[in-house]
Amino acid sequence: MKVVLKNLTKKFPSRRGKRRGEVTAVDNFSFEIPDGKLVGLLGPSGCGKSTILNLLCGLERPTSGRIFFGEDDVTDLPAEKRGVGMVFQNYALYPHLTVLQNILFPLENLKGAEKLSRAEMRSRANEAARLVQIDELMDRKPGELSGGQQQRVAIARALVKMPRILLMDEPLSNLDARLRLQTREEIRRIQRETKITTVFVTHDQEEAMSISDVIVVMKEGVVQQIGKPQQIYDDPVNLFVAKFLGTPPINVFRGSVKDGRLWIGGEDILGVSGVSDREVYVGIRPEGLVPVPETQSDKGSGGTFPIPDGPKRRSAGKEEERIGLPPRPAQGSGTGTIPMSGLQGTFSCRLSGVEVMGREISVAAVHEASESPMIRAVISAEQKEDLTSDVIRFGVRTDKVFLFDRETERRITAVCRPLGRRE
Amino acid sequence: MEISEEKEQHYMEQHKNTGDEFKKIERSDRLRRKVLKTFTYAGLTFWALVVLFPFYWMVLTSVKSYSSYNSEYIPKLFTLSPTLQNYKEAFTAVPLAGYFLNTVIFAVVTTMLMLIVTVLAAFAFARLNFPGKHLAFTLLLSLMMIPNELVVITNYVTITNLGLRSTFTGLILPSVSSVFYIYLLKENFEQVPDQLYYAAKVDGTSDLKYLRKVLVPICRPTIVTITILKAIECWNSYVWPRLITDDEKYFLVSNGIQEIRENGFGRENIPAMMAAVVVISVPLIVLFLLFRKVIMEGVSRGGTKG
Ligand SMILES: Nc1ncnc2c1ncn2[C@@H]1O[C@H](COP(=O)(O)OP(=O)(O)OP(=O)(O)O)[C@@H](O)[C@H]1O
Ligand SMILES: [Mg+2]
Repeated sequence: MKVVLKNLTKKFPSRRGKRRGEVTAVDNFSFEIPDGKLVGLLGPSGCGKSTILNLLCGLERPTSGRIFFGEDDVTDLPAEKRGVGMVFQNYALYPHLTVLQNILFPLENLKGAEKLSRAEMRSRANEAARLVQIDELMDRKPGELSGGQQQRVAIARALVKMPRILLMDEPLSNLDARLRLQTREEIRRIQRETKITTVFVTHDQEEAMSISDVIVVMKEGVVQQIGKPQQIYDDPVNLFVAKFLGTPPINVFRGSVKDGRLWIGGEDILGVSGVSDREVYVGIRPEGLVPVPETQSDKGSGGTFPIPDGPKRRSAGKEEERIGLPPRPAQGSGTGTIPMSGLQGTFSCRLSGVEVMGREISVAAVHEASESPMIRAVISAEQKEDLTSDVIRFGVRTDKVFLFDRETERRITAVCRPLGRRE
Repeated sequence: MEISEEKEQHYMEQHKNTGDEFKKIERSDRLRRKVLKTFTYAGLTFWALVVLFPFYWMVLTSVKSYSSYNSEYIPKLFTLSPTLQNYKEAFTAVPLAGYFLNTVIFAVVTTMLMLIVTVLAAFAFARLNFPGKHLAFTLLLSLMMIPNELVVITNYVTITNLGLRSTFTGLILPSVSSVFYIYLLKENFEQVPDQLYYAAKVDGTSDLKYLRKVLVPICRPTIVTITILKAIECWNSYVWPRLITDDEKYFLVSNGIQEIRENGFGRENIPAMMAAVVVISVPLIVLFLLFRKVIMEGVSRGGTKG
């Protein structure tokens, strides 16, 4: 079933009815959830995710705006008539009932044509329990379960009546990493099979990316961006969204655009077009920073820190750029695996640490223009780079660089291109 | 090598010392605990005797014959010629069995109605929103400050005006509502997390069904406690039934006891009265023994949560 939210606003009155303290939990939220899709609602704590779920299931009335399930306006329909399933953030299991009775509870309340026989209820409850692997705990009371087990009971209880719409409020927050992954896949599979329109709330961006058809990124009750996970990652509309998605997070630098070039610190790293000269934030994804092998000339001039002044430094590096850095015939074997298409420019930082994480190597470095104390680059572990000198130079992949306005933090559409290939 | 051996020995010695020390402490601790326990039990035993003595006195008196009881200038603490005559007396002098039945009807019906009223009222005050809720509750609470004796008089006038004297309705009606129990249960209901209400709503229950299937089972200890307290209250009630009934057909056991007492030969027939009291107390004692655990649970929970 398609779910449409139209200009939904929810304001919570403050205590004593003073207008000043009013909280706008959801602000003019409009969105159409396509039938049978899984939507990930993503945002930091307190941004109104749970409030949206409460509006959807009818526990809260919107201050203004309408909600439609399919063609029906359900804005004024009470919760018990909406037929949605919900996994609460704090589980909300019935403490006096056993696991089995908890799972049976929604089925026992079905009325009329939907009413099931006792045996049917039992088999559906068992099936739901098996899905989340709690079929051995059926006779326990919630108080006798671990947090993760309780959470799974809550999932089973929401699934068992095969609701028209399934709402999950951080349903995996209490599971260990492996079970989390497994349950995530399981939810995804069940959702695909049953085609229940699902809203999945999380503040774990990785979880949202992996499970959702569509992601909605929110901040302080306002929608920031809606789109497919990859699309949001590749094309964030503002600095907040760019920072929120991706692990390790995007590296943000203070930079500026001058004369068609992008400057960070004292270095011009890329050429840009389509932007007037201005101060910007430069976001570079960790995988967009590719360490460049040291060259003889670099060792001579760039081996000390702080980063040398632009002009001098440039004179050393320019030649290589013009001829298409970094692959130098001598060291080509190491870097040969990187797609070189978008890779251009160089960018010097002080190396502060290298962590080998199995498949990948995470390089930590320091740069004076960085917004965070540490910047990160992720490279494949197969690359045998020499990462021992103090100064590390990165090539920058142009498709991983985003520019944001310094004031509004909105994305600036600009075309970045490697330096030295000026038209 | 040697050095290390020496060290080891030293260590062992030290270790042994600390072991001894530990044992000493343990021993003194055990002694202290024993002494404490002895005192505690002595105190408890004494208290139990004090509490149980009236019961013993009641049973003792009920098996003394009327004449021997009256001949004892100073009542004796035992009797050598126990008799069941008093029990016979109690049942024959007045229709005690009939009173018994009346009391059962009165207690059961009153308690049932009280439960329904209390649960619904507590639910309304705890969970529903209606205009004037806080005012209504405050007024209800302030009723607790009016002494019962005052209420009895107005109730008497009301019931008499309604023409309900000497009827079960008149007997039962004023005891159906209980402000204190509503307050107690409301507090209890409010401690059940809101999230359960929301979950139940999403699971498709109406308010009443939520009350029946979630709230009442969760608050069962409190509900059982107030049920039993109310039943005891009904069983023991004396003033109101005495006021409102002058027809023997509606007398309760408490009226019966009074009647038996007045039935002696010129003097009060205390032994027969005591026999009646014993008979009447038995159902309550059985009730308490049956639900002892639940009552205690309810009381202690109410206590800790204040
Ligand atoms: N009943 C309420 N009364 C007043 N303010 C509320 C109420 N419920 C929520 N809020 C406020 O609304 C905002 C959004 O809350 P919400 O619970 O939707 O956050 P959330 O996105 O689910 O956060 P989290 O990830 O921590 O669960 C918060 O600022 C919160 O303080
Ligand atoms: Mg939340």
